[in-house]
Amino acid sequence: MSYTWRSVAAIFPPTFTVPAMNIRAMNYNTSRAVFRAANKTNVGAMLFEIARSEMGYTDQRPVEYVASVIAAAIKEGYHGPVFIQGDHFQISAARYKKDSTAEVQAVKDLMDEAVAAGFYNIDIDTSTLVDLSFDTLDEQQNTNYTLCAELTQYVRSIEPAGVTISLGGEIGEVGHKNSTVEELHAFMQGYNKHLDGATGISKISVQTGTSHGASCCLMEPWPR
Amino acid sequence: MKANSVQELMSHLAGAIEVQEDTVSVVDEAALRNKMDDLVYTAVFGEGLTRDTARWLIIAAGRPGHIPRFNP
Repeated sequence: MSYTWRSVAAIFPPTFTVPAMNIRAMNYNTSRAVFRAANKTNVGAMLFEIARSEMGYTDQRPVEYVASVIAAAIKEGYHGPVFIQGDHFQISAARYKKDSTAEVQAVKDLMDEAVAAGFYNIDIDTSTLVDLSFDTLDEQQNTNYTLCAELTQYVRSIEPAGVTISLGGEIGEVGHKNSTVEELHAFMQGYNKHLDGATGISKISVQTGTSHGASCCLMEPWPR
Repeated sequence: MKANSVQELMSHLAGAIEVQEDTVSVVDEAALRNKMDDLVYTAVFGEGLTRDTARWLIIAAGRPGHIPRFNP
């Protein structure tokens, strides 16, 4: 999807959207319905995703998730590409406060498991660590962009040869204050400084006033 | 039907897919579709090596050159 996002970003105004569906229950049956609809309407791009938290309470590990989705595609005779995404690979603010090293390692361990299973799209979510009590936007976003860059570099170190995993970042925690353009600039400027030459994110989620965020695609290159 | 062993699983899939060392080939797409309900049941509700084999077979069958084009 990395190439797709970059292609979408080059088109203005955007001419299509890509649905991302969090299949939490009855994965095989639900995914079959998705593929039936995709076949019927000739859909080209859609994402099957699941968040770190959802894997926990639905007891679906990444490899089970991928197997269920692919099984549904085969069952329905779907011959298009299947994109699977790790949604909200999120740092828990509470656990980070208690033991930051262990919490970051837990997300890296999940990345290992997910990439091995075939999650080639991952949304890194360190936005839980944005601290609005600071005066400057750079200070507010500092832990968010620093950790997001660290996790970006980690994914680059484990991705299979020939695969560039599409990564996303987040600048505003779901359900909190609406994001601003200035926050996006503060995040990206700090993030790019910490990348050390690694390929960065290709999209970012912002808080838009709904109970959940929405993604937009990044124009390349982002000004450094 | 949930397979209870790898042997039972492979026997059930005979004629649909072939495994040679670490390579999975779909030899009859329609037959695989017919057997998919049981295969995915084993992949989700099976146990140990049988479950893991079922998962691997599904994912491998979905790689480029087989049925759906799986990622990236």
